[in-house]
Amino acid sequence: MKIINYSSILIIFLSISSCLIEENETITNASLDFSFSHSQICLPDTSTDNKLLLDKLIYSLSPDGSIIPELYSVKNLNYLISNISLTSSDGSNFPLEDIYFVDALNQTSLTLNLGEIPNNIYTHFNFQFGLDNSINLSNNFVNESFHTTMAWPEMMGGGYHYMKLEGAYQNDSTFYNTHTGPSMGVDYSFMVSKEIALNVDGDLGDISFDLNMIIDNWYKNPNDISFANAIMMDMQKQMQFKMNGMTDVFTIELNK
Amino acid sequence: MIRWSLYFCIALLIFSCKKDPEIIFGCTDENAVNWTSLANFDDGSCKYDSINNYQTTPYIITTPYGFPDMLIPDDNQMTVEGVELGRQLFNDPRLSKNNSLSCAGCHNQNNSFSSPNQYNVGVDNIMGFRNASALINLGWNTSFNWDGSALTLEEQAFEPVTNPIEMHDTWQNVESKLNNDSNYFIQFKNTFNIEYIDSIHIVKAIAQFERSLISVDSKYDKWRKGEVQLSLSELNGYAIFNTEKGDCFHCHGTEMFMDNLFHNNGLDAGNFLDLGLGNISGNPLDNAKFKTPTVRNVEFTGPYMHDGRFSTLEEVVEHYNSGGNYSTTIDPLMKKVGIGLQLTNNEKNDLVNFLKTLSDNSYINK
Ligand code: HEC
Ligand code: HEC
Repeated sequence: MKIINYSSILIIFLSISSCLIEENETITNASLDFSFSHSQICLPDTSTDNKLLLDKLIYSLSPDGSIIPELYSVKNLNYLISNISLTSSDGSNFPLEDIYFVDALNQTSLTLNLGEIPNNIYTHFNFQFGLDNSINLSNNFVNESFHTTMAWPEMMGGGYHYMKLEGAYQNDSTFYNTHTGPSMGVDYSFMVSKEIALNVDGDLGDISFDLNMIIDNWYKNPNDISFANAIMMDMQKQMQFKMNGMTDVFTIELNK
Repeated sequence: MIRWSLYFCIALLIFSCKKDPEIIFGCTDENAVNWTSLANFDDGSCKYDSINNYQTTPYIITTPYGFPDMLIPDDNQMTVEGVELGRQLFNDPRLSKNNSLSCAGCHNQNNSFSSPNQYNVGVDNIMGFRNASALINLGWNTSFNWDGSALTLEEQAFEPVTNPIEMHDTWQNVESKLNNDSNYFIQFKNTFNIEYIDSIHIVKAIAQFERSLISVDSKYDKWRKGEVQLSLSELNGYAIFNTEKGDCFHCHGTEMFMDNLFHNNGLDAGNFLDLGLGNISGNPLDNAKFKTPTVRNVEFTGPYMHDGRFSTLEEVVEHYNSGGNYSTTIDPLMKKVGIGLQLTNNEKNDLVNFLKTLSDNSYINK
């Protein structure tokens, strides 16, 4: 007898709560769109809008910080970002995407719809450049599109490149390969946290963010790094790129 | 009283939310002729077409270590019957105009299903202009032919049969030859449940056979499993291959030893005879880019490159060691162009020795 009573109470409770959950869904949220852009500073030619010109040798500030500009081009740019999230004013974290692969040559990878985000006041946009060592293991992502493109050989620590930035410098036939990743198994991935002012309150419509990578800044501030290749086992270079990456490579713009 | 309250509760549960899924009675078995996607509760009304009731045995693919899941089209699931039928078709010269040339005629198992000739002559004695690709681990390729002109194995298999420099027949003709063979007729019926053998099912069977061509049992694989040791020379070659010293892995990387991408690896300094991917995409930036072949079984697949220009692995290694020839579309990964890798003779030898650890003898003797 008792058992039946309890179970009926449980059923009533269940039926009520199942409705409550549905009710929650009716709250409208803002939909978040994301775009990835890449820029070169293009000195001294200031006529362009600084957007990345693939495969064009352009002038840039010399990596050694002098005012004499150096020619360089970008032929290929791939990178992984992970742990993409928003922080709200109460300090809580709203995760948006675990891992995202950007291929500057593939237009479809340059936009990302992150769906709806709940009402809140968001103060920071965060992501990790590259993959955390805890997941950056060889063959850990065999079914992801980046598996073959980004694989980092076990000989050199294993896992996946964070970035493959390749092109020419000085002239058309001298190449640089800026390949960053878990050199010799050391974690050089880093967090980037950008302040934003985003108040999602009811249905705001579409919100879009643009995350821009200023390519030149990989090579300066605080470290002047010259174009080179064969840096995958150069732990000092990897550290310098990490520091430069944390300083001023990324900017974020919010368009509502 | 208790019973009533229980009824009440159940009723409440059912009606509590309007959005709860409705129960729709019907036939829920997809193999039945009266299956309906609307039904979610089987009421035992399924009817089966007796012809539809053919039996096939699924062909199970075990994904090798470090490989992604194989890309198998929904409408061509692998069956034991399909693979066997495909094997026969692949070896059958009746797929060609004068019944003289089968697929195997250019894709020889002893050569990891490639050809020892630089080019092959088709049934009309016309010489081709590309080296016959090795057929190995094709189920993981995202495009086919050196220039990526076919996107699926089914699509690829349509082409050799009618290609004037290959088998130069018509599909109509091939279909009628096969339909007159009662053995094939029965096998196609048992495999695909069809009453007329058509080109679509011929290429499906061939594609199934090709997907079954998996090779992951080389000395390298055994070494990875800890079953054998590599010699010092082979280990040194492995290190050259997998570091920026030789920098082979950026294109021939992962356990698949290829990247499913197209590159110009510096074979020619402009004036390209074959535009490769550029011919397919129409984009001059793609000129002279070719699909990276796997280097698994590469010992068996000479001559090398899309035009079979190198006859030995030593020549291939010498090409890379030279740094390659500069042209506007050369890949920036060929970063030592004009300088060269500067490997010593011993190191070149080690690299070749490592490439030979990728040979899977069981594959060519199967
Ligand atoms: C006359 C020789 C010849 C015959 C016969 C022939 N092939 Fe080929 N095959 C080639 C050549 C040459 C290529 C490379 C073609 C290219 O890149 O344009 C090739 C490429 C391929 C590829 C692409 C492999 C890859 O890795 O991209 C597949 C698959 C294939 N052939 C299957 C077949 C099948 C199936 C048949 C029979 C229906 C067949 N071939 C008959 C010469 C031949
Ligand atoms: C930039 C990418 C790239 C790099 C780096 C690279 N390869 Fe290749 N490899 C290719 C491509 C693309 C082809 C096919 C080219 C063609 O036929 O036009 C190829 C072809 C080959 C072949 C011939 C395979 C066959 O079946 O014909 C061998 C062997 C080979 N590479 C070995 C190596 C070795 C060893 C290294 C390192 C020293 C290396 N590759 C570095 C892209 C690359």
